[in-house]
Amino acid sequence: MSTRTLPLLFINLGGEMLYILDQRLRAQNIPADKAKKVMNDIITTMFNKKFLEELFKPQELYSKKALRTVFDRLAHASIMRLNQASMDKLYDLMTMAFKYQVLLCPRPKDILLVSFNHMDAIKDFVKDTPSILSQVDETYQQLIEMYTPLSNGEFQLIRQTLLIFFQDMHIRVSIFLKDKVQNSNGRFVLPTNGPVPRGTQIPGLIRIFSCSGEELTRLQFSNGGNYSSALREGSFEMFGNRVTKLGTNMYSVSRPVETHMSGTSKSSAQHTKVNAAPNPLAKEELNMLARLMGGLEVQKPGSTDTGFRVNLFATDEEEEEALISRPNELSYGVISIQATKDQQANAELTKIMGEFTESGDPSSSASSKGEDLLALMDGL
Amino acid sequence: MAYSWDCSREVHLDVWLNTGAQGVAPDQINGCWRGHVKLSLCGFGHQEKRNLNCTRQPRQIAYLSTDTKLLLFITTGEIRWMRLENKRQGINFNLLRTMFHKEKSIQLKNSASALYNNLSVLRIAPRRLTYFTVVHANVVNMVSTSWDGLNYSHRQLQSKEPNVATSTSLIMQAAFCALPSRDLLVVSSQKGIQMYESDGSIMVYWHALDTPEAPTGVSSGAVLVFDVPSKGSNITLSEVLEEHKEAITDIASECSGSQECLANLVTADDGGNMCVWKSGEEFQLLNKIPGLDITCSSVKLWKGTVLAGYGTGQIRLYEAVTGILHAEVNAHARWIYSLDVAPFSGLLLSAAEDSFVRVWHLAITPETNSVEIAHLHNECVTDTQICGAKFCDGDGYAFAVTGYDLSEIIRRVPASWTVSQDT
Repeated sequence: MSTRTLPLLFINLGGEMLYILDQRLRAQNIPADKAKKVMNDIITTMFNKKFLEELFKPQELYSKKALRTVFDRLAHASIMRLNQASMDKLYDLMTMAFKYQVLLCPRPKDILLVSFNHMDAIKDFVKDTPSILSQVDETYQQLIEMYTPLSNGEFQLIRQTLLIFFQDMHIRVSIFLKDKVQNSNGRFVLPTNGPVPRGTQIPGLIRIFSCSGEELTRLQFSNGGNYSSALREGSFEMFGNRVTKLGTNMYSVSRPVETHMSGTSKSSAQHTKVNAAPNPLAKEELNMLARLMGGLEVQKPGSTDTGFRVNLFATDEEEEEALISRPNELSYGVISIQATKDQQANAELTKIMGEFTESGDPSSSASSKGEDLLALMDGL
Repeated sequence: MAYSWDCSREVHLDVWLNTGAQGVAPDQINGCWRGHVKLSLCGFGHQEKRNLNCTRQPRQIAYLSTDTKLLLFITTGEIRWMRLENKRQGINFNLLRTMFHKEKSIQLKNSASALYNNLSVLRIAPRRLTYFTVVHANVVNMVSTSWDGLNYSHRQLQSKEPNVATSTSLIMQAAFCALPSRDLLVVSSQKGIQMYESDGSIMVYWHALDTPEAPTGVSSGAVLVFDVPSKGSNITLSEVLEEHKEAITDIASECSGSQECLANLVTADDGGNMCVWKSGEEFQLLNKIPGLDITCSSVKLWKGTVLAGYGTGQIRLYEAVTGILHAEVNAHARWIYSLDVAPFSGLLLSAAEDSFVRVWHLAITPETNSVEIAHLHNECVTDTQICGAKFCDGDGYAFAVTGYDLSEIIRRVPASWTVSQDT
């Protein structure tokens, strides 16, 4: 599948995360300066140069586990704290929102427009801070450079890769249910009406040609839907009207953000440490993660006087209840990695790396990779 | 004049089909039979017997009216009529419309991934079984169903590399290949091509694809030709055809009996370009049909005509050898994911992300170079982006459909027909 999927996945999920956090910060009446600091910190971390450099390299998509770890880290890149249950809910909302956007894109290429909608909103969040603004602008450039030359077929491959990532996710989101874009079984409504994508004709016409190319007959058939002509083309540049509403902030109007969990099994959805049993795939992922998160600066959890907690639920009780009742199959199994200068954490990481050495591994890369990893950590 | 009737309606006649009685010797091939239809007209106060030659098993027989005394036999290959008074027979009805109704869905172990042509069907007539395969990420789900609908068995094949037990790679396509001497299941993933016996029991061949240092995720456009012996695993790579510059999306072939039919293979790519080949000791490129930068996601070859489905939702019919465009259909509102043709009846099935499966009727006469395509039926699979649609048999009597995130194979059989008589 496509090796250019990760940047789009990350930026769009990040954008959704910011929409939700922004809404919760306002709903919880967090003082404006603190709220702004949170948003700025997260955005700065998201668009860290070194981090993005890693992200934009051609590579396979991360597993759900690995990506969730990245977003866990990102969400804690500032003085804001989220409990396990709130973080789970945040991630559910982010992923279902982007899944919806990917599914409903009329053309595969429109995923780029959706990404630009998120970028435009992010730019608006930091419009008063020039330093972060320039980071965001640079990312626009990278997106344009990497994606505008791609063909429709290559975009469809990216879209198919994303759909495999989102396969079988049917978490019900209150806002989607209310707007009737999601059914009660968790599946999204795919309308058979509305404008056709640019480049597509409204179905219904059959044209028969002669050998010399002239049109012999025209026949009509009924298409079973109710389609209209395509809307105009959205802008693929840094500025401009994107035309599509997919990827814009649907939480602007203050609406509660609940998710409904299907299943009633109790589970302890704690952070799970990486399984100690030799798992070569996890080792490769750990490497990628470590490289990626080398660029993520983490606030020391020490000083808590300016810190505060954000709750994605209406009350603390609800949050606690959600944690207990989250079904097993929906737990994300986050990998706990601390890319700080903490000695103990480094030792643990090396130990985990060491456990993954396979006896049959000819290149004996385990130890050298471990050293590189430490070097990377030390460089922070 | 148009006639229509319901397939579930009772037939007013007693018919012996395929019984072997009354001196009829059926010859069962793939569920169809060659032989005679013996009719006994009862209920009119007398008994009459008739013989009719049918090359395909009649699916529906109807007695239209007592005054015309016209009997219609619908097979999906042809529609024959017989005038009872004078035993005059003929074939001159046009299939106008077919309504389909649901048959029991087949449940899958996991949901279908959003990949082109993500459904493959193989009929095993001697064992009265049909196999279905659907790809889910790195797994091929195989279901074997008995024709009486009573038995289902499941099997899962995982894409893996025999040497390196690390990553499992995503599968691009799984398809049955019905070769003259044997059937194979071919599974292609990013890392290589695996070939299995058609029941998925044994892997008979593995071909690793070169993994470049900087993986681009887009394949090079090479077409690999394998020599397959009638038994065993001595499969060899015999040729590499390098005409396409972009990733290959679909390949179609036609084993034509007639000598006039030159082309028997067509390959399509991500840019909508198609190459038409003639097989032989070495494959010969007969023609290149340029694309318009729109992916051709599914292609079929029938009676020397290329049937192509595109990302814009269009279906185009080209004459394979010359590249002449015969017909263009604005068929779907979204990307087409699958096309299938029922070779014996000329039915075409198209399926797209727009939730629609459409059935069309093709009439191609290579001699006069005339092509007609007519729309027969729409089937909407609500809230589903369809990724695979196939006829379950060569007549196109029934079809099956898969969709993204759907854990079942949906099936349809004809419920009613509408035909018109040539005047």
